[in-house]
Amino acid sequence: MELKTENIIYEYDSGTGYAKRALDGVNVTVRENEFIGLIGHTGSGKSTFIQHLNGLVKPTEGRVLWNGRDINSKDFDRRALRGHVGLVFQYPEYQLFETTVLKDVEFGPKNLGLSEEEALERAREALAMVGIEKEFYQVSPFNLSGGQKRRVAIAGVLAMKPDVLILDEPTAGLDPKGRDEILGRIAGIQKETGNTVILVSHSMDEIGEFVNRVLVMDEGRIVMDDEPRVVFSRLEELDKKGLSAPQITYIMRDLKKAGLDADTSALTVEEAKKSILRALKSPRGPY
Amino acid sequence: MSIISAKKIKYAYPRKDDEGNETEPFVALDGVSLEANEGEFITILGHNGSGKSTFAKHLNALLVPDEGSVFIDGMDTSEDDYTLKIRETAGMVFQNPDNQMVSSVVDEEVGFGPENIGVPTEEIWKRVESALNAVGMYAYKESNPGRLSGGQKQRVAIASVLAMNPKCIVLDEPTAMLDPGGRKDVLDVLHDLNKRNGVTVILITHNMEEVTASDRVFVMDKGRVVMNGTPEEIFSRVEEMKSLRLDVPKVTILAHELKKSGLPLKDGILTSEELVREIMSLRI
Repeated sequence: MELKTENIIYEYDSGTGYAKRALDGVNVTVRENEFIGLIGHTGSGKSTFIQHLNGLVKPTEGRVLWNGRDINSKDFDRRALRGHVGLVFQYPEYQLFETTVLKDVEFGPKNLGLSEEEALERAREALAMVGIEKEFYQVSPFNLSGGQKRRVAIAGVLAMKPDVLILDEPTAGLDPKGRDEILGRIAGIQKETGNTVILVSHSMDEIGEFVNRVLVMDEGRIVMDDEPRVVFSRLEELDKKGLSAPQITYIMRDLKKAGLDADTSALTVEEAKKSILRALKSPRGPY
Repeated sequence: MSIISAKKIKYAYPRKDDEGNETEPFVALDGVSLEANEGEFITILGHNGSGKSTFAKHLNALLVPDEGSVFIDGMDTSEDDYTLKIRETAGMVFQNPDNQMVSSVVDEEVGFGPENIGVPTEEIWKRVESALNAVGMYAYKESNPGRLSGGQKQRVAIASVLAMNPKCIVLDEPTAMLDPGGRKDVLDVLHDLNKRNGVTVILITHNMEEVTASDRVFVMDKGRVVMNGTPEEIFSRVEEMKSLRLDVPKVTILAHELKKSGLPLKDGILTSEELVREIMSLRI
């Protein structure tokens, strides 16, 4: 599997005095079994970019290639592509519409042309993945809690079994426990299936904890594309772009400045704890 | 003096079944009491569905309690005569900035409120200017709010409230949709208004890092206030916060974990500086 953008440019209001480039030459290649974080300040082009990946928006210039084939060429089956590249929008629970949870999740696979039985099987699987129990199948999605609604909405996309799952700020507005539940599920699904997930988030802590590749967008371009610890070591640059790093990164830097031999590339509490304990015990440490 | 005085308020949303018959109402607030003094910076935490937003709507008479009472600057919110005065005193800012914009030019947006209550034109422009300056958006006064970033829109929304000269601002998750830069700008503006102009701030958030600089924290669960104290006191109770579906700042968790591993650190460490100081003082 390979999803690739070749120098894509997207211009709003082309040919008028207000023309503005939302994407200005984006080259990204996505392969199997990746967990990618996409970060960038509001207006940096993230949402426009992900909408190119499943053909919702056509580039003004450049090409989007699915396994080497241009998805915007005339003979390309874009409906089938939506089964390969699944997009979960922000606040996806606003798009729930069916009378029961099960029907809502079955809608996608049915639209792909699957039979009743296959669609049902897919819906059951997807709901199990997001941790929605059988007892909720016949409930109206509108009677669920906020976190449950969002999980049902994500299941609706998972049921299409996409090779690439793109989520636009899936945890916005959820309480901390709800955030952990959703991200934990997504990370579990990614590991289990070996499919690729692209997570758009404004929470650097989430990105630092879960992903293994970070794309940073700024003014319609990808300005960094690397492992999280490499990206977050460029703290000053991120700051200038209206971004930040995980809180742990700042703490470890402060400790280093104060003279402790702390590992400044640590991104999680666990890594930080180990590094601090090690530094304190080492002969060169404060003890 | 208390600018906000909520005493044992109860509120239930009526519910209907599929046939339209009234069923048992949903109790959103079940005896909430909260006193805020003028000039305080208060944060309210609580999981989704704990009653935070319902409570916030009681602070400017969008909702009135079924039982108990709410007084804003001495005015009873259940008395209709006070409603407009209460909304001038306690302004509200919501989560999604796009839902709160009514004009196509920033300065008109900010002037909309004062114009509505009949403030003389000259005075309106004065207020617009000072409100936009206070949130650092004066340079954008002739811009279209639709073309601003999320953080800039929220700052314009705050300016619109400021133009009403409120004593108190209530914000319901104002940073939930913002990027890190936008979040920081909004928080800086709130603390600045609180310190310099003495505006009372009631901030509802899910972001634990936004809590550390507030004077007091209230934690809600099932329509009640279950914890109430300084950020240090609240965040010392790590396990209890987690059981309420909440969290504590990463630096507090790290300190808590290090303590569990045997380092003699104090409870409720809230900032990186504090943690660094504590760790470096372990030198013999």
